Amino acid sequence: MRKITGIALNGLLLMVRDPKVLVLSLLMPLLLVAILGTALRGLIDQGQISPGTVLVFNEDVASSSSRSFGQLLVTDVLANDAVKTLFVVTPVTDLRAAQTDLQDGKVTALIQIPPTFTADALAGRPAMLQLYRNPADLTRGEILVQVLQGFTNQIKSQLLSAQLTAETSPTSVGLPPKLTVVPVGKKSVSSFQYYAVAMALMFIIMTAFQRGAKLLDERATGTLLRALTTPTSTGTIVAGNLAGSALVTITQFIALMVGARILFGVDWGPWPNALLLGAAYSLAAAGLGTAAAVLLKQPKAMEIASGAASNLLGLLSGALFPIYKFPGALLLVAKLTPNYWALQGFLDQMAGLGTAHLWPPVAVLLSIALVTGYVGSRYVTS
Amino acid sequence: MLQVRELVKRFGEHEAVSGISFDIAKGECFGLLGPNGAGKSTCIAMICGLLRPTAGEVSVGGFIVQKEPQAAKRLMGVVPQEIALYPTLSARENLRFWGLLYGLAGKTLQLRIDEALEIVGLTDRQSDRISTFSGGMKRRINIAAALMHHPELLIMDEPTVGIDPQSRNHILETVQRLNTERAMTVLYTSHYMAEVEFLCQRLAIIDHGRLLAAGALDEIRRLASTESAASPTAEEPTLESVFLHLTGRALRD
Repeated sequence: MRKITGIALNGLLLMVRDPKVLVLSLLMPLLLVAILGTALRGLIDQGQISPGTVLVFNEDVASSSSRSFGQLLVTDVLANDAVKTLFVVTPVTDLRAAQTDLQDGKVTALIQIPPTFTADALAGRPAMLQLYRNPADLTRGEILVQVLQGFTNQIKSQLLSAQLTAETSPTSVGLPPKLTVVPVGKKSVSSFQYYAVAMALMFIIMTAFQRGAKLLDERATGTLLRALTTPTSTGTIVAGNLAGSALVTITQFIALMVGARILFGVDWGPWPNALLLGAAYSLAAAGLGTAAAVLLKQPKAMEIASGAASNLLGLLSGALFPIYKFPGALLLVAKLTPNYWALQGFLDQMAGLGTAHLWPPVAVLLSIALVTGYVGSRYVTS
Repeated sequence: MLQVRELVKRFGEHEAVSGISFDIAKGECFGLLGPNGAGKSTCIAMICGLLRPTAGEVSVGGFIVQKEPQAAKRLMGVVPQEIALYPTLSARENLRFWGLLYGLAGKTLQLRIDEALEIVGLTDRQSDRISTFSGGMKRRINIAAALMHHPELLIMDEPTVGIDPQSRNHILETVQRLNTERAMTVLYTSHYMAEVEFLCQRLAIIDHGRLLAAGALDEIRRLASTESAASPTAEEPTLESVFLHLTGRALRD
């Protein structure tokens, strides 16, 4: 155990001693969080945003010859040209399936209009319009909230105007309809939170691949062979190297977590959950980096692969583009990557979904760590 | 101390080592000579337990390397041909790491680091990074790392490649001191005949994976003089002339 710890700590010391690695692994991600977090707001201002899918579960049907408020929302408000540039509105009849699509991150939002929405609004009873938001689709979600708030305000003013004109009894107007925004979870996720996770995941993968390149480097410079001439078993050397990679990536994750918290006020959700998820992802990344070293064999190839892998996995996980825009096959591929599970896991924790939503991504990430760690361990013995 | 018996190593169709045998007694300094591609490094790798022999056996201090590698490796200190050190770490940090892999810890580890640094004469540079060292200094720390656990058998694979005469001289004197004063058994490979003549009591010459000659320095010299005795103008052969006589003058890759 002492030797495994020694090899692992040596890996950490080597990372700390390399200023280029420090800049690349810690400063760059934080800089990108600042740039992307700010740039996202810029995108909203300029309206440069592609349409997102909004599911509408409307039970508020017409009572007689007049249209219900629910129908009005679907056929008039959401069909407005300006709104259509931002959202593809799809009516649904299966609420459970729609909720599953939302949970899977396939759609921007789900609007639920209860059967008594119009009747309640007209009778002065509390009328609730439910909006379930995908926490990962920040920009469109915010726009949709504004659209629906505008709609409920419009109903309120029309009811008030009707009251003043008809001088009807006060009981016929009552309370205005209310919009309830329900993020998938208890809280919505900010752009800085989203990109803090996305960048941390991307750069941790990059570091893990660089550690893989270091292992190849160690083989080329002879330090790995020298270690094998000492009375240290191959298993200990393999375990030490894997632990070293994991220690480096976990340290990087904690540094980024603390950095993003201090600089951008990023709330990572419950700290123990975030740390567990971060550790599981770091282990998966370490295993993946070591396994990649087995396949690529050349340090130069690994260096190139580290940039390519972090971008590709980042892309597939939705760190660069929203994942719900992906076609089904690509979404399936995304689910094979550790980044996808880690990103979804972190977003769930940030949204306040709790520990129940922690275990599936942790289990998948640890499985990836086990498989890739095993493949990687074969390198030293081959 | 070291017994090498009928060692064979095949890589596919190619036989890199073909039935090599030799013994090294405790406290002896033994030279292993051969041109590039002769099979020296393959031999050393099998002795160190890095390569599994196709046939044959290596025994270090009574432990069969293939059967009890950890016990055998505890008795060995290996100085590889490459500078197998971490350039961004200091000399002391490197020695601490290698000492740890040899099973040292705590105060013993600190004392052994001090001792190893003193042996190679680099105590005053212990806090400096290896990347700032000259070639000769790196070679000296490369040796120090193999001395951390007081090995009974020191295996040195061309430890003086690419360094200045002063550093080479320092290394040779250090090895001689370890051999004579501490009775450390040494297996030394080199391209420099003068080094082997200076250090070793006995030697073996190998080429194309085969043992061409083995014995005491004088015996090897006599081998060539016997073969060239027919020539009246023959001079007293040097080890280099014997080496060239046995391995030929054709250039090697």
